[in-house]
Amino acid sequence: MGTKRRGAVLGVAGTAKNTGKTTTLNGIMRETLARDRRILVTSIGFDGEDIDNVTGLPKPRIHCEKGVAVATAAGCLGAGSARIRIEVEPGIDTALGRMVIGTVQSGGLVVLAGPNKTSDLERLLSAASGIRDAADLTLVDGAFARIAPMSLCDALVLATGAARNTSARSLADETAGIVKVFSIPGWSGRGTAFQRSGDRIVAIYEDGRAEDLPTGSMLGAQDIPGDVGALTGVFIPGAVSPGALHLLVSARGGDLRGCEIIIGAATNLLASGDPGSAARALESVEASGGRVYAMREVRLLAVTVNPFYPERLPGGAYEKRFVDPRRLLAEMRRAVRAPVHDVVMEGTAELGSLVDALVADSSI
Amino acid sequence: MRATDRVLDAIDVETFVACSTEQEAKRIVLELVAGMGLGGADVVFIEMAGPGARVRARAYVHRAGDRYGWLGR
Amino acid sequence: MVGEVTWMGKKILLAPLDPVHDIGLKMINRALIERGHETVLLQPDLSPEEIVREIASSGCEFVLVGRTLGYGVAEILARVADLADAAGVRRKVKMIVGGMAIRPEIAAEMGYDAGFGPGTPVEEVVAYVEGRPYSDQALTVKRTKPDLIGAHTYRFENARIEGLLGRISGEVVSWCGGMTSPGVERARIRRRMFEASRSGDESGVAALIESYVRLCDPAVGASYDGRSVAKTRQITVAEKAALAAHIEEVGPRKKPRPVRHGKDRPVVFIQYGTGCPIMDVAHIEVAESWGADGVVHFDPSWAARKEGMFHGELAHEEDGSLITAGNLDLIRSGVMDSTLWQVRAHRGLNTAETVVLAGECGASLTKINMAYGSLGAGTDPERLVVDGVEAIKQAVSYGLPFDVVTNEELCGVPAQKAFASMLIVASMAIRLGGKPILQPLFCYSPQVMIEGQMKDNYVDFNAAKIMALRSIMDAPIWPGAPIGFLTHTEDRVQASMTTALHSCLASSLGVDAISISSADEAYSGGPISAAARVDTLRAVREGFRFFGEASIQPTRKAEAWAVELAEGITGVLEQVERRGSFVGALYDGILGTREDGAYPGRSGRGTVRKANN
Repeated sequence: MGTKRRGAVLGVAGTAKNTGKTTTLNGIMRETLARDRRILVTSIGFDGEDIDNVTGLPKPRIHCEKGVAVATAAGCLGAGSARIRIEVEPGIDTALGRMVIGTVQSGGLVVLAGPNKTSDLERLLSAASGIRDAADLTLVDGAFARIAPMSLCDALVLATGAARNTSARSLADETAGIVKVFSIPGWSGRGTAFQRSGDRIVAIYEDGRAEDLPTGSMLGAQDIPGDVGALTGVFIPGAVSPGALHLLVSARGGDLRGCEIIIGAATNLLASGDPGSAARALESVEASGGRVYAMREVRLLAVTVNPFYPERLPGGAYEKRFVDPRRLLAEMRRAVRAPVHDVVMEGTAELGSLVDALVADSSI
Repeated sequence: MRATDRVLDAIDVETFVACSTEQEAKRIVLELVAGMGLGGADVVFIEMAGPGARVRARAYVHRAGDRYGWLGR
Repeated sequence: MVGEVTWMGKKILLAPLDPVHDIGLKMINRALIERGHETVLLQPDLSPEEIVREIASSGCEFVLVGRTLGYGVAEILARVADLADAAGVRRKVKMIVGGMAIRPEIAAEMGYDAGFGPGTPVEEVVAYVEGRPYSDQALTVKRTKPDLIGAHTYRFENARIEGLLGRISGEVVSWCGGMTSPGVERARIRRRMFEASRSGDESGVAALIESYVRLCDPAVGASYDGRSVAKTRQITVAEKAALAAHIEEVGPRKKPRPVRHGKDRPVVFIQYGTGCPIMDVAHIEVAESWGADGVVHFDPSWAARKEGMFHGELAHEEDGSLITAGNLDLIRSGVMDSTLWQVRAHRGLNTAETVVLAGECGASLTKINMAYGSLGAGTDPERLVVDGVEAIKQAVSYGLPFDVVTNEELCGVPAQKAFASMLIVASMAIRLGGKPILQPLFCYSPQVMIEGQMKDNYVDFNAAKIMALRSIMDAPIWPGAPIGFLTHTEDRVQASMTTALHSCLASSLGVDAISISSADEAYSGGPISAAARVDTLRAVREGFRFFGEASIQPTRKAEAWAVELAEGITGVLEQVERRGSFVGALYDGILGTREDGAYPGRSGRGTVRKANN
């Protein structure tokens, strides 16, 4: 993106409510602070309700120690128990008012309402990097059913669990699919055609011709390049839907050999639908001989798994339930090609090490 | 048999809560109803003005399709 | 928008998500078009991909997404925002979500730039699009204290009744001029106490208190010595401070909207009197916030039977808040300047003094009558009439209008007798320079139960009362007390409905004011709840919204009963004139017999004597 950034940016995304995203976030913060790293924490949504509106069960909130930097809406500063001193106003407006970056003066709970779109997160990261004593690690808390701004992260921790699916097998399969999507390799870059491109789809043909399409996202049949048969490469900067990828495969008669598809980031494929269909579309492209790359790589650093789920009783109340945590963990580790942790059962040490390695790498 | 078994479907709590914002009122009344042992409450109506909010909270004991506590054994 | 500044219209895309057309979005669409913006209203039920394609290709600057209730809608909303973000569209386009259950926190969570909840005025959304601040001051009409007298002239339409009233009221006023009572004397002492206190004359105040206490019941006198009063407790200094802080904090949040819709009448009063002045303040705040224009103080009847008014800030453990200077000051501190505040002086041994307190403590009106208090509330007629004339004089002196209520109908006294008394007192008031307001009852009275006027409907007989009064004179009319009395049950919905319907009838009849009850009216197990107050105010608002300028049509019976009532009133007044004395008429049952249910009271009997000065 062109901005100089010291330090790593790590997103924490949940596949559903009650998957332990906040517990994971709090754990990562604790581990990172214990290693004397400076942290900035924000959210691409809103985290601050202390009772789940639907289930009535208490939800943990984000706890920040003294010295942690937070980026949140000015109106949320007094809403938690932590005392925060404003350092900078990056000039970003949110639905809850102007954003501020501040440092926690006395530890406590914080309410985060951060930049909820990619362009605003970009501006925040830029403003934050310009501060003296900029953070070693910027933690970006996720939001319900959204992933797009996470394209700016160096890596992602995915929080999932029984609240997403109580069947350990199904959950493991879905998570494996998500990991597959995040395994899309980075595009090393070549060819003048792509240097021209910005926000439009560029189609490259056998004869070297490059064609700009009128749109930047491939979401349906009208976005498929005209001369599909002669296509050798297509650069899609915007969103790409699993359905569009399937259409591309079938438009080429099931044979995409010699065709490279470069998307903006793995998150662009996930933004439009459920992870399962993204994974299947990817498989379909690869099975047909095509290759998919991402301009920006977002690594999946780890998966945390939470055996908890809220069950609705016949009487109407919700109660805490747990699937067998060991079985869940085992099933997940069997299917998923990424580190899987249950931070409550096993502690946060390993996850902390993974995060710290990320931070160390980015400081070069 | 518990008293709630005999509630046909839902229990409403109608009250006036002294508070300064609608958010606060919602939180208070949900906590109130949870404290009565009624889970899964929803705020049906809330209107905030002056010293507080007029609120109706609802908790379903039996939803359609549940096993009804009031229907024979 | 014509002028130096070029009008920059915006391009706005509106996306309804629900298969059923989103009314809110359509209204906003119309408003935006009227302001000169370019809009594209998408068809509902498009997929997130289709919506995002439309956003990208339209070149719009704003997207308004409408949220309706439904399963999975939140997820779709988030998906649309997410897809738009991945598509690169969010750099230049502001996305706004509005509709059911939307608050700013939800908008933030779902990836939108702004969120508007249900009930957000269209103008607020337009202001956001145009990038200017929105103020709802335009909506809150500046609240001024209503004037109930208004353009009423007190001119008589019925010459016969005018003549009768003139002679009757002339007799009683001149007779009272030569009489006094402990109530009259205490009222005058009380007034001098306030004057002395204002001029800092502490010893003067002390001396006056001494002479005052000599005219009081021992229990009342004891309160001036600091001794406790049965069934009450002192409000503490800490409580008073907490109340003051509470009033400060709540004040700016009141933002009352009138209950009326498009009309400036009737003025709506509620009745309060929980027993504790602090709880009363909270209830008054609730009532004002939900649109009441005025509040009426209800005091306990036992205190009215004692000579003298208690001293202190006292919370009473049963229904009704004691009228003391201290309590009135506390309550006044919680009443908005633009709210009408009534302190009633219509029965008991302290009516004249109550008017003095009302005047000194800043009340807007009082209530004076002599028939109900003496025939239905136990005060001796002679005493109540003498005190009542003093009360009228004090009210005039303080510039306090007052209503004349006909509560004896609730005992069983038929309307024509109750109205005759009311008109006599009104006539006395006018003679003394006062501004009386007529208060007929809209109630299911014993008369009506026996004679059957409300067998078919509650409209005709109530309408007849208003029509009869209007055929007699042009005076302000304020049905009470509260309207629909004895039609309420403990059911919240029924009580709110009957209140609303009676209010709409009153509004249709064009009366000046009404007193409404809470939804707890028929419940006697405890004080009225704040929630019940809100319920009837909301119900009345809805009723007024329903009718607007349309009216309720009585049957022909109303006209017939109105004529009958006016003739009945004439007959009663003729009897009073023949008797030659208003007081005598009260004792003799001309204005309500024992059979009717009226019993001349005994409290204060024999306490009237000729005045020395």
